Amino acid sequence: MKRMATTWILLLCAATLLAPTTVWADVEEDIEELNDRLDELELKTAKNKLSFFGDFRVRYDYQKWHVNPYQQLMGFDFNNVDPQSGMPAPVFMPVEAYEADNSESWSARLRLKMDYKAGKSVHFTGRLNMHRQFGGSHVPLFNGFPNTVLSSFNSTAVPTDDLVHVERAAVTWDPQNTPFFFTLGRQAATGGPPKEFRENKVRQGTPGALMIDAQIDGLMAGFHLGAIGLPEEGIVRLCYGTGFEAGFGSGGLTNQTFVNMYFPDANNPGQVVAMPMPVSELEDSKVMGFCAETPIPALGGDNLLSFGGFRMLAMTDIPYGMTRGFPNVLSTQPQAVTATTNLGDMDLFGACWQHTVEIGEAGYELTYFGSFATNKSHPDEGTFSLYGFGPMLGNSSEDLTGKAYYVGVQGDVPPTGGKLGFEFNRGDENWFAYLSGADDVNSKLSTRGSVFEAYYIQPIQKGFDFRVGMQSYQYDYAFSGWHISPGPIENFELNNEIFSPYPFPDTITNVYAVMDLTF
Amino acid sequence: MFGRTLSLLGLCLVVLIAFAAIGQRDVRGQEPVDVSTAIIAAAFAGDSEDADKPQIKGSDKKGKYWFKKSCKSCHGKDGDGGEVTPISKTIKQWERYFKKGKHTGDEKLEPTFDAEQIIHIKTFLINHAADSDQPETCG
Ligand code: HEC
Repeated sequence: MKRMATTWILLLCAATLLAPTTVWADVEEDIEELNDRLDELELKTAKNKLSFFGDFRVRYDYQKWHVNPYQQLMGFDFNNVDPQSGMPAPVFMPVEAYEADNSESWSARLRLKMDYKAGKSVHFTGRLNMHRQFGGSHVPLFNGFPNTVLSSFNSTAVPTDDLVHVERAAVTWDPQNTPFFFTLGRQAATGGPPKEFRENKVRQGTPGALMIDAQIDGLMAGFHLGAIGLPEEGIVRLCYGTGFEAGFGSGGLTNQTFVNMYFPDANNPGQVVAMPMPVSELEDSKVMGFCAETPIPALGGDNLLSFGGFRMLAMTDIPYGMTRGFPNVLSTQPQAVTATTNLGDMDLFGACWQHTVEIGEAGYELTYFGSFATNKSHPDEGTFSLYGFGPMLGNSSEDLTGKAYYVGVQGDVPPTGGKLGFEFNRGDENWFAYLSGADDVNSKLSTRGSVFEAYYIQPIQKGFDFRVGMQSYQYDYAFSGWHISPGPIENFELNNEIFSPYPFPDTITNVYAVMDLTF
Repeated sequence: MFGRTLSLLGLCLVVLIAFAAIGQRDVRGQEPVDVSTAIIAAAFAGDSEDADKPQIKGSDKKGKYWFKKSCKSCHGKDGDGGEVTPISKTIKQWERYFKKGKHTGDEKLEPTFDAEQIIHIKTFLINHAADSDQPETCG
């Protein structure tokens, strides 16, 4: 009996000693299996070179326009030709004040953002964008603003068809252990500060939204201000971009050529008369400038001071673009428009201060911002657009200065977890900035006049929100957003009966509702 | 026409606010709450479980401040602890990290670091984690 007990005890001991080994064998097997699975996963991630993320937005717009009485250009009287210039006399017809509204317009925007790290110092970022007008057509209907001439500066801001456009694609080289970095490609030049507050997004672009809001190709050299003892996030960027590539000159390889311009014949409605116009060799249009930005840590909260200056060189009258209803003949058909002349240079300076502070113990946030910008024209004497849109800012012999400001507040609404915001901007007679890629329906920041906007953002969960808002535009002058005008802009004050190739609203009300999902 | 559109939008707004008001939870902070789920939960369950536990709300701005102040000394670019930024981990990984509450090895985050600071730092790190929306600029 005793021996049997001893045997049992010995067996038990052996079992306890053996047990861990068997368990260990199990664990080893598990680890091996995990290893295999991890290898597989690693292989897969290694092959997934690009990471994709992005957002999807559906937007509803209601718009109401009011147009003051004006004189509509009907065409040209070829029986009444000026013997000196050889130009037929323009014929105008008075138009009464009227209102027009578009009670429903829907659009969807899908943005796929891409990111690839090629190593410690090189990375690629890109953004593909489909911006579709529901039931939309291939080419946008011209509404008088430059952001409805579909060009490569705004191809993703203007809702059109279901094509995917490359909005951004740039390689950044950030040499290790130096304060310098370089970016080459289609740059992040749309939706810059302080536009992100209204959109309830993180920052979307580099230059201030009051100065440059357009898809621009070029190169950029950056410098981290941390290297000279300034705040770590501070950066100065030098930028160089192309606004128009003229090739050998638009006339091909010859210095001087003629193109047919089509003039509506006022005596024969529906008919056009082709007149050959001289087109001289075009120059490339370039933009050079700098953007600087830094937080001011001493002021607390989240803040950013950004400012910049740009010179647009040899600006052309119109970019290459597509449009319907452009004030020209046969305007129901999509037509291509293109640059006809270099008009001169334009300077642009601006600054923006934005600051988010917490209020009270509960940590509710209040954001305010103020932005100011000014432009100055340097026209080439005697140059004007062959489309009949005149010289730079309507005056080819004088340098003109324009100004604009843009202010806003946004605050948390504690009971709902939402945000309420108000914005106001005002531009004067000669105000112009490079905003053709702004995705407001009417490019509000380029307004020569004032715009008030109120909006409410209701987050449903992180990355998913609804927004409703209202913009009220009050235009003082016509040709807002354009750097060209058929005559001095003071002649286009909308309270006077202006002579115009197309109607300009003096007020616009735009009510919108947006659903936005970030992924 | 305009009046009708406006009143429609007004109605949408009221519905949205009502939704959110019933949900009554922070939608920005560390715990994103689906408002519709919250409504259903509220309708069926009355008070939520931790309703009477006083909890301070994580603040992104305070978190950024404390992260710089309490963590960056060791976790800057050439810090002893190696560079740590919000994008060092994903949202889920930061959540797990703070749930475990361990800094490195067996050292606990609390009380090495102040409990309130940790709540803010956690909010900041999660809000800007690698898989959150990142700012876009040239370079
Ligand atoms: C006194 C220096 C010091 C401070 C202050 C400090 N850490 Fe660390 N931390 C370390 C060291 C050392 C390690 C270990 C590094 C290693 O293992 O390579 C580390 C590791 C980490 C890791 C990596 C651990 C993992 O599992 O991935 C994280 C994340 C981290 N710290 C976060 C923080 C946060 C957040 C704070 C501020 C609340 C903080 N640290 C403050 C020294 C510090």
